[in-house]
Amino acid sequence: MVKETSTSKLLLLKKENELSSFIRSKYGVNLFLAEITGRRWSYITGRDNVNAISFLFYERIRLDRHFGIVAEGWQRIPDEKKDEFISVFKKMVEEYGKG
Amino acid sequence: MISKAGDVVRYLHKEDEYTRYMGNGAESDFINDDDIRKRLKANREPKPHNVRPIIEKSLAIETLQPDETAALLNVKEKELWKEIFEAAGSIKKKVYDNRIVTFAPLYCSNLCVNNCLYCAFRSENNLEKRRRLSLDEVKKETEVLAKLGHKRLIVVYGEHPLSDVNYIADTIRTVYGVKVKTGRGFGEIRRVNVNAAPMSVEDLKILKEVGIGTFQTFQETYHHETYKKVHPEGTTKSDYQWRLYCMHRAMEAGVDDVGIGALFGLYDWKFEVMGLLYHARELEEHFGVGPHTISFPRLEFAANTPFIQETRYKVSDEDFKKLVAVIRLSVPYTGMILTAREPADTRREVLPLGVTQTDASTRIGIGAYSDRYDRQEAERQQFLLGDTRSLDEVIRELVEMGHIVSFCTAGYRCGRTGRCIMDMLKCGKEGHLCKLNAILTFKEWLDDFAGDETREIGEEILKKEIEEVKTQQPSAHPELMKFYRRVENGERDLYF
Repeated sequence: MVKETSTSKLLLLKKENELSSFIRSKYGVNLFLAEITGRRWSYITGRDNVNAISFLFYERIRLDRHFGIVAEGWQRIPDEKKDEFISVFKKMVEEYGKG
Repeated sequence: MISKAGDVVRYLHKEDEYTRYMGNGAESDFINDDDIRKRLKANREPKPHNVRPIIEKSLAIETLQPDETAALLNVKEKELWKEIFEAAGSIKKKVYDNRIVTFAPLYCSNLCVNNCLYCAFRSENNLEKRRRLSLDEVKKETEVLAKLGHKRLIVVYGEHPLSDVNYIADTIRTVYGVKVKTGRGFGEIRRVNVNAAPMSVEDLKILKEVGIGTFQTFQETYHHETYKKVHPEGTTKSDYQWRLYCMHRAMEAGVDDVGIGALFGLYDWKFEVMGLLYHARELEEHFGVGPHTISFPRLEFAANTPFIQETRYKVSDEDFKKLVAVIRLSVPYTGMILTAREPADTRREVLPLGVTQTDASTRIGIGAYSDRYDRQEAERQQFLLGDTRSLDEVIRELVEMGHIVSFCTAGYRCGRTGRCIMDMLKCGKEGHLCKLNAILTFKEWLDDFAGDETREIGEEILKKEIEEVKTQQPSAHPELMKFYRRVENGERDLYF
């Protein structure tokens, strides 16, 4: 038996992968989604990007109390687009992150 | 229906939280004693030409198959053992580079409802002085440790209703809340790992919320019959499978850095190494993430605990080195913890065999750091320590051995946990990154806490390490130096 993952969590993983793949192909930005508990940021998904991230120039962007993204090369995205992506990520975790 | 003590234990232990991971009926877990014995027997005469490809596989950072580990355990030739020891050191260097992480244990309570034959905390041991630290006492203990420069603690608890998950969570919050002024900067604990009894998913979620580092529970022995003998029926610890599947529950609760271990001396050491391998493989298979750390304590003298003198499975120093090296080769990516149970000379010999973490300035009596007592007191300890040297002394020796001591606690604060860190370790990337953080945190420690002699040789190794980054990671060097200057100027807790 494998670890049970709720349907909403699966959707979150799927949506995150779609968006992060798009951002990577368009802007060369590698990122992954993390769950925040206290001072801990736990990796959730975005595995394909992990080995591409140098972790030398990354940013941690908090989406809400429970989720954040870890991104490398975030500065390559135009400011207005950054806001748009963050807003999509926020909606995504709000909608699917409770499962 | 609850009709005997064992039923109460099973009732309290939410049986469905582990049976759902078990196949082929409720009696069948992933440790098959007969199968392990058969594999050890089938591989009892390994030929060098069969062993060398196994060593190569480990060097490629691949988890071994049970038959491969069984073959390594049965190697007879001294020359081949030499090759295994060398490979263990090379794997460690490849995955973790030359860094060693230090930590201190903080025993918060020795109240315990269990009656484990080998443990001084067992409930029937009337000579043990029982105590549970108040939160104010936890604060005082932490202040002492923070003033020494420790950044990582492992908090330890006996199993008792008075040291339940809520107490554990409160003590961890207390530890994180401590900040003390030191020479040039301040001291604080940045990562709290937990060693406690197995818990339900619900309780583990509470620990996760507090922001723990690694959750550790040792199986003690993987051998079913021995487990039953040393953990008397009716005690909460007598439930082998509740304990065995604890890390499954931790993963389910979202705690993705887990530590496993066996207490060597309860049963045949070769069997226990096989058990650890099966445990690691089981976690990899179910969750894609193996153990963050493996611990391999040996039984040590404990007050009023005759079992320790009587056991026929005590592990010799020579076999201890072998088991450490085989664990390193079997699960090449995992962190390996060698503790101050072992005397200094053993630690010196075993460290190069793949160890990544070790403790120092260790006191394991309840309240022993702030009481400032400098001799061991058996009646308030779980066992007697082999090495009570200060952090400064241990670090000086590690540096003399060519290690850089890392106080890095960055990983779990920036998402490098679980599967992410496993992948980075396997491809050697984490080793490079950690070197940068080791340089920054060791510089911080030298400036704030080191004695003159340690600072002098510490600065020398820092120069060497920085030079190595310059040649091996040229793109990282300028950024490292920017951070390094900031640390020199008094900024703290900078990390990549």
